[in-house]
Amino acid sequence: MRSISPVRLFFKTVHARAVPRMIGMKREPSWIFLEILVPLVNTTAFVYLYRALHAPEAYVGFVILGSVLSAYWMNVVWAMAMQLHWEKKEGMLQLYVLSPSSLMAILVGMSYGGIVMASWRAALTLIVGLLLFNVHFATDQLPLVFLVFGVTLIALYGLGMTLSSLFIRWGREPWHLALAFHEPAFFLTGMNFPLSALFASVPGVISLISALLPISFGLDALRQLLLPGTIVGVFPPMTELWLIAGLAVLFLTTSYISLKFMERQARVEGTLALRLS
Amino acid sequence: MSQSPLAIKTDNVGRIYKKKAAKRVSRASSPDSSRQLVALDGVTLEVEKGELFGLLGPNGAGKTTLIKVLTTLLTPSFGSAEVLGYDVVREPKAIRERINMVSGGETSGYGILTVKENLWMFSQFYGVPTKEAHRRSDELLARLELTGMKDTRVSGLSTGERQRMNFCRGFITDPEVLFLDEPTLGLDVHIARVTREFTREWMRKNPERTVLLTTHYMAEADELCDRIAIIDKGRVLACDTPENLKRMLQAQPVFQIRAGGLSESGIDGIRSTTGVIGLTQEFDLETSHHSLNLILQEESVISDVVGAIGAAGGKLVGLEKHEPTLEDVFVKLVGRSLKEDVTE
Amino acid sequence: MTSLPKLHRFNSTSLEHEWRTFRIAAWLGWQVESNWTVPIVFFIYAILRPISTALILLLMYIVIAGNHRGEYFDYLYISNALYLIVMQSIANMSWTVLEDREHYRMLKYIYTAPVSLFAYLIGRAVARLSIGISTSVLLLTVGALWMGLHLSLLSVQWGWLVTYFALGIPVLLSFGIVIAGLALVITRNGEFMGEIIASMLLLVCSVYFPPDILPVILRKLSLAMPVTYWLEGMRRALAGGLLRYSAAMGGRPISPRLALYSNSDLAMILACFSVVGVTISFFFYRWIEGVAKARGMIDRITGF
Repeated sequence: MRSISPVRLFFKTVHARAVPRMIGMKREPSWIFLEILVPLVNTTAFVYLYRALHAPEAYVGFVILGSVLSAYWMNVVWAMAMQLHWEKKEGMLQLYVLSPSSLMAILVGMSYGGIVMASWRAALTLIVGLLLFNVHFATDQLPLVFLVFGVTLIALYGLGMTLSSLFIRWGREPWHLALAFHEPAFFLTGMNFPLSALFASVPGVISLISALLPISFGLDALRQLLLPGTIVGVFPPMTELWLIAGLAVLFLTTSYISLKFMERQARVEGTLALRLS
Repeated sequence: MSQSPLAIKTDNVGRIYKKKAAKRVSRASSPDSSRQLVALDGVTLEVEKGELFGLLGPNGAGKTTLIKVLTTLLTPSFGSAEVLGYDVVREPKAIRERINMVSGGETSGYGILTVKENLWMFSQFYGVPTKEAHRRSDELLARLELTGMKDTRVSGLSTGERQRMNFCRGFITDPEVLFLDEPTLGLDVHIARVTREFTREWMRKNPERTVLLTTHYMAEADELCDRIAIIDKGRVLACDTPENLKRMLQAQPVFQIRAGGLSESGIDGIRSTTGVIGLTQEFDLETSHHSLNLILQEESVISDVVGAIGAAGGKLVGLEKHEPTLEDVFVKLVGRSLKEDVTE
Repeated sequence: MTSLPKLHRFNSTSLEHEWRTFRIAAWLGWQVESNWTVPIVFFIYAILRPISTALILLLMYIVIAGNHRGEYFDYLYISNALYLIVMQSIANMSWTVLEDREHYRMLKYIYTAPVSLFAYLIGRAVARLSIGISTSVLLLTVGALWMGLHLSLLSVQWGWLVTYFALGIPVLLSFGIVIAGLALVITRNGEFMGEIIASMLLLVCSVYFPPDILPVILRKLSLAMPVTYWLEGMRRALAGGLLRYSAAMGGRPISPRLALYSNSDLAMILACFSVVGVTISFFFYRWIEGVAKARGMIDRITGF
């Protein structure tokens, strides 16, 4: 026990904390309704809205891609940012802090399970888009597509870990905060419309906030790569990839610092073991 | 591993809760007392490796706060504390690798996982190899009479079963120092006995391991602990072996009196009799008799007590002298019985 | 045993007592909804999400139709504002049941108190409904002032507005009661029942688009839903008449199918739905409450 290396302990913890999520998915399949059906229905509503507006069919592709990334965004907000609060409420947080593992390893473990869950939803959204709405994606730059997607996820989950220490400081009823991250984030990231339309219509400070959300440029780059010629991106895909990579470094750093800070503050204030009711 | 001979060492350690964010303050400063709560007020303790050390105290005495400080969950406001030679503020990671904690009444656990999966998961946070974790969990579950529930989801367990699972969680990492905070709270008599027996057995098999136990049950402390610290209002009032603590009262006789027809004011009158050091009372609903436990300065005071009972309109039913118990020591030091408290 | 003063004696069938339960539940609902933060944060929170959705719709509209706001924008904007009321009344009642049962763990005490759970639930729902209505009004005002929504106090058909509103609210609350009843007997994820139903309604109740463009099955479902008619009536009353596509797009009604109904037809349909809805929900709730009791679900903690 005492001789285990920190790296090995980190990965053992990641694995151990990912397992409950995976088991939960298997044992309680009702998540399928919530995680897949609801978002699919909402996506379909936006598709029909574009059709009612007589929009070009490429816009259906925009909505589908937005929905794919929104799956990960929702997962980050609910299964990661909120998670430490829930763990605290259930009396588990103090047990985590008490263990020699890092909170970061525990959050990474949670996110691993969450990514699998969100990927199911994303995959199904894509299948529905391809089969039901006849969306056609360009496939000539797939390696770059996967690279953009991967880096976006790293930045996104880094942001999620930073948010988790922020949410736990919020105290009571943080799900209000989580809910406030739905529509405003969908608006700021251009989930259902081209990002350039947002940047052209809002003040610079809002554009800056938008640029700080990894999904914004991630989605814009993916749309340019998979639906070429249909939209004007804010920047070329490669530039956006570098920007997202910068965000990934930034958020991984902030998450490390903020988790350490949160733990230290909670120890000083004596709030680690507090049960909320 | 640290070469410190001590498992736990605290030096004037204290904890002040403030309404706003607490800061580490010097004892010399004079913070506004109306906006703060002194939970721990300069505790100095030394617990040797291999000891089963008990903390006895009424509600709000500071027992749980001291455990939180020692388990690195709470930063002390002043003073210092070490576990296995590591400082709780500067070296929390080194401490966490070597300790574990079980809180009484704790029902944590992921409802979707089975008992065995929950134990495995926690063992992984301490780096226990999976095979070893399974072996240990099988052994612990058998010992705590939970084998039949090992594949049951935690959501399907009763409160007592969840507590037992958490008890196993505390031992599965084979900690060098284990903190047991009211471990038998709410457990039925049989299971409480099993957990006590297991704790003693674990200590016997692992003589280098240390347990710090807080409990409300005098008999539990008397039965299990090598040494006991009596703590009240954040301060340690006495610290010694149960035998030595009881010896403190050897010069002061302890009597138990049963009497009928006593009112509260009558009992207050007895309490104020010269020579009465401590008095606790219980009322028997069936016989309508009061049972009074009295610690006296000297044996001759008993005649004044009997007189006071008569003056108060009471009728003496029984009187006997007995050997001092931990309960009597507690009453003498704290001024009231632990039975008058409920859980902290 | 001495009898209690008359004031404290309950007669569970009296209207006065139901009214008291309703009032206290509404007060409690308001406290639960609003007192988690300071009023200014609550206000920002209450308006932030609806405004964001409105902005999403506005930008979706602009990227296709440009900066000119046609009547389709009015259709979209008004529907979205009214959908808040639908959400608050239908979706959130199930949340109330589960919040009381699992988070506050008070449902069993309310259940064992001499109060009507039905009146209690309606009371709790009213608090949410008032928040929904206020936000909706605020959103319409913001739309009219800054987003190019064609809405003026002079053109609103007030008589129809009051009629549709009064006929629609019982339907919405009945819907909410049925969902709350279902949530009571679902062991896991019951708290999301409301969300699932609300998203289905978004698709089939002519919120963002008319039922006409839906595939046949969904269109039929849409025309069987009272919310479709309520939204259509409310839209017409607020916009001052039937909404149409711009002349460049043919000038036809946005929903030719719903245009077949006159205002009186819509009111009559809603009145029928109201009577049927209230009756069904009342009996359904009584039945499902019995099921919940039989299964021991009134005080079940499922650990959501």
